[in-house]
Amino acid sequence: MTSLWPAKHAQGIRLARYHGYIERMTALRSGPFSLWPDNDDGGRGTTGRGPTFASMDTLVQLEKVTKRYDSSGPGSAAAPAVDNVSTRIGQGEAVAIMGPSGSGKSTLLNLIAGLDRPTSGAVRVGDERVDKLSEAGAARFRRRQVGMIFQFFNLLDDMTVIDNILLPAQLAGRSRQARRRADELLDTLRIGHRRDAYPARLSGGERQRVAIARALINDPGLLVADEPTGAVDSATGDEIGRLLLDMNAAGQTLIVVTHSPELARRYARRVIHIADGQIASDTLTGHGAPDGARP
Amino acid sequence: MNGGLGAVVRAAGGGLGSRRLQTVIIGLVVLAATAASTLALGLLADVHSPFDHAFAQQNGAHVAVTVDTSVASPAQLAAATRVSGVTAVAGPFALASENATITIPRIPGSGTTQLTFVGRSAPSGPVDDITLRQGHWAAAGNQAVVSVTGSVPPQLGTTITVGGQALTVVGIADSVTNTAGVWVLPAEMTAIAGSGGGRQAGSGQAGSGQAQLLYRFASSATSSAITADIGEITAALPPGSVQATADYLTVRQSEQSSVAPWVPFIVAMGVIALVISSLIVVNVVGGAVVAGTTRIGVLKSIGFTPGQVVGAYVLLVGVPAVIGALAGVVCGDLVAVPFNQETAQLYQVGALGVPYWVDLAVPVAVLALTLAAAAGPALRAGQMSPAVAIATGRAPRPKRGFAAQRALGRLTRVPRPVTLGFASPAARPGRTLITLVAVLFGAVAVTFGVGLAISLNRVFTEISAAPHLPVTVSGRSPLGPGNTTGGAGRKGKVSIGVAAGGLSAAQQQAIITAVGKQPGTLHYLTVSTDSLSLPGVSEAAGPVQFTAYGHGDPGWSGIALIAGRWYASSPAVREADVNTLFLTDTGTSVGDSFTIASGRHAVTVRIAGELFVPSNSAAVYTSPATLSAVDPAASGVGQYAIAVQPGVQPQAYANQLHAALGGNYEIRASNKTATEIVAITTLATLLTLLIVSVAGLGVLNTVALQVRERARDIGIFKALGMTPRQTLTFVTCSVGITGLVAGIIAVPAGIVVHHGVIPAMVHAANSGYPPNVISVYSLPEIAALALAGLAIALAGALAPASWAAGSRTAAALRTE
Ligand SMILES: Nc1ncnc2c1ncn2[C@@H]1O[C@H](COP(=O)(O)OP(=O)(O)O)[C@@H](O)[C@H]1O
Ligand SMILES: [Mg+2]
Repeated sequence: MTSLWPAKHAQGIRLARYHGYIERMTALRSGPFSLWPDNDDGGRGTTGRGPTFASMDTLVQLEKVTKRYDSSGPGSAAAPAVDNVSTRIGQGEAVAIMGPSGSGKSTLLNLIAGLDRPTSGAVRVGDERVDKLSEAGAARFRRRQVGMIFQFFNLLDDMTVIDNILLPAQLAGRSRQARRRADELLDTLRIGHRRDAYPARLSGGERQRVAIARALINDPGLLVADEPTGAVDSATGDEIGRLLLDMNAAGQTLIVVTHSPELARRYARRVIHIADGQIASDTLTGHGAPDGARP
Repeated sequence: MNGGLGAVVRAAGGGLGSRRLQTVIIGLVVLAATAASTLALGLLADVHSPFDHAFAQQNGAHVAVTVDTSVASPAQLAAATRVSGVTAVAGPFALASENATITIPRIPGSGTTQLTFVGRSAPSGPVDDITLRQGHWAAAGNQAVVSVTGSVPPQLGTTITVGGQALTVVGIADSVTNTAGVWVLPAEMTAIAGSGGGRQAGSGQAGSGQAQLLYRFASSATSSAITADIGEITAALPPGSVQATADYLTVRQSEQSSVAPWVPFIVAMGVIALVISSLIVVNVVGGAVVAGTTRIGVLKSIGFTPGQVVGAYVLLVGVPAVIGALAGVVCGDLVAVPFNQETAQLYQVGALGVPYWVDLAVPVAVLALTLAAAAGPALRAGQMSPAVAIATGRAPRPKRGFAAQRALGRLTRVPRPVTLGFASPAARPGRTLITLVAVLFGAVAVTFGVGLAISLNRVFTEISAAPHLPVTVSGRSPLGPGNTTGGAGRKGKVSIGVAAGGLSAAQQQAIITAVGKQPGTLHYLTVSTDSLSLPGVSEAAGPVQFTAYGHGDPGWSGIALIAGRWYASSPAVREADVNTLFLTDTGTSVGDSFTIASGRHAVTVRIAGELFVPSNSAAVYTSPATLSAVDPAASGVGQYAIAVQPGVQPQAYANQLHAALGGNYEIRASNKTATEIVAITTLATLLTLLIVSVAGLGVLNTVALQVRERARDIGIFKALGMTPRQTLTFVTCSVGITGLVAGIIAVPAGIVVHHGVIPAMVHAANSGYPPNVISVYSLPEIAALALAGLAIALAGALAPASWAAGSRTAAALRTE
């Protein structure tokens, strides 16, 4: 049923370590849902986390990130879209970000993906200080490190499936190497027969799979998805969720913004709740584990 | 109702206000269009107005008739003033063409020239009401008044000696139709006529005289009406008594012919400017209204009537258009001032401006066009149901160009942003076509403008011998410097023969020795000049100019041959080269024989070639021997014209020669640029720039629309890793290919315009042309000009492309 399931030995070790880390970290916190309280006292550096943390490579690190839109209405003192958020996301994690409409989920995702720059605070992804990158630097960063999936697919209507998928590689100037990778992805995502079709002819599920293939063409370290199932029916949403989880199981770090609690529960191992631009809760779910722990 | 419209304007204004860029572009395009049209039309209108103005002021003569008084009796003359159709008559005035010697105060020496004397007791009259510019009218027998445009330098105190009698110039006057060179009191004419050995019409019997009759007619607008009028006069006089007739149309044409050569150029530029402006205005305005369709739908859904909506949008397009049109008129007028001032000085009719009707008609026409362009789409939007309007504005337009996108996607060797850009034009063929045509016209203007500049440069380096024989040596001119150059315009009619006092044999020997000794001499020619009235050759613009190059190859003068060859230098051969006007006037062609009859001498010459000497007067070039056979009274060699070796500075050479020869010689080095070429090049550059900026604004508008429409696509590209520079490349390439294609089409089109306009210009200057005046485009130039379209397109695309490159990606993707 899940052809992507690698179930490799190494994977099992990594996940075991991961669960151990989470358990310990949660135990350290005052509340069961709060990984990092907002009033971080700064005394805890990476080294302060102990050996368990060090063994878990941080991929994304947000430090007191605030984003305030200039044109947020007549009241210039309007609440920031993202308000002093600090968190870390480890290599290989699958994180769901949830929250009501307008709570700042997309903004947060954009900050991580280098599509937008925070008003204050630091955004680190891998070795990059994303918030300090120039426009061109941010574009190169997105191209190499980030795959993006959107609610409305954002495919280019006048390009075929294969041309859509190849585009990020071509922009990066590596179209030749990308051809084989594109064929692999077409196969993996079961859209090989749609290779030369135009997006308008595809179903919602197919379109989103094309978008996923396009996001993965440059083998990014981080895959971010903003409500990837928001524009498809629930069966298709389920399928997309499973696909993303498969990617994660293969080692792909994943951050998914979703409205669907079910999707979050079933396919993510960590759920961050956002309200009014702040992290309201950060919880681990026992679900979505590749080791058959799903209900 | 008014409050309602105000609300609509505000509501719709929100829509257009957020399209501030389009509002600004509408204003700028209308400004440039109005300025270019005002300039072009104003200059065109001005070609005719100065003469007409002066002609009306002076009650200028429609027809001037010279009658042989030995044939026609005073009673017959009186009868001839009462023919039908006449509204006013002046005369008969006694007239005589005589050779006279001119001496200017404080300048040693004197010159001789042929002058037309007319006896008049007062400048005023019912016809040819002469304007006195300086001094007073002749009050005594020994006083004379000279024409400001005549052969005598307009300087009070000058002495004119004719028939042994000295006349002192006491007044300077201006007759718009140049009815005389010198006016004296009627009683004086008996002493002058026949005294100076001048032209004697007919048998030239002693005692015969001539009289001038000046007429105004009721119908005089066309040359056929004038011909009929002249027929009436001729019929009223005894056969053979009418010696010459002159009509104001000929004078008017000759007066205007210094401006006339520029008319085809201004018309061509004006037409290009008007077409491109209309195109861009329609495109920009139509685009602005279409872009507001959604908002129109929203407005209607909340209760505005179609009329209010249409009115509001027309008004909103109208505001920037009116501001642009007014600013454009002011700009056009300001730019026209220097050009018109030049003309005004030429005609001495006071300061000129762009005529009021141009200032009125051009903005009205441009505004009408703008509103017409806005009304169509606005009306359609006004009729649309709100739901349809909202849907039309929102729905993605039918996409085209998928195949192009696909084909270009396969070009893996070309950077992806480039192929993405190249695929764009196919998506919007209509818009691409308009951009193409706009850039095409801009590039045509560039090709034409460059060709024109090269042609003019060739014309002005071949029109005179100055660049080829840059150093001239003459005796100290009795008439002062400046009179030896016969230029265009009224002031330029001073005949060369007056100024060139002949050099004595001793002086010539001194020059030959000095020039021979001086290093840097390439070769030299002797120059003799003369001006003669020849029967059958129009004298509307002055007598025939004679030039004789001796002592070498006349080809050294650099004057271009249109046909034939230069005259043989051998003194025994009677050959001459003439300008095109001479051939036209005399009805001869190269190879024909022509008898030059001057006074009592007649010499038959073979016309060896046609020379490129655009002028209002006929010109003859012949050997010194032939010239002195034609006119033994000619003053001989007046000038040595020297060509210097390559690398030698003419001025340095002249200075050195001056040191060797001393102060008794006038030595000049040519380094002047013709003012005409400066003026016309400036004008051409200005008009080309205006046209190019309209084209650039059109491109800017199109690309801005495209960037706005494709905001989502651009957002996706950037999210997927397109850098700002790649975005810039993508957007510029999307219009670059169109620009390149337009530029490539524009070169042949521009060459066609050039090949049509230049001959028209040269013909208007009474001349044919040698081939190199028109074959000006060399291969490297063509290649460079082909890139003009690309340059216009890129310049227009640069601003919106950088907006696209700098736009916030996240915001673009949010619009769903
Ligand atoms: N580009 C923007 N300009 C101004 N305000 C914005 C922009 N993007 C988002 N916002 C505002 O920031 C807040 C958070 O928006 P967003 O991150 O899109 O929320 P979510 O994705 O959780 O629905 C909202 O109040 C939204 O109106
Ligand atoms: Mg969102």
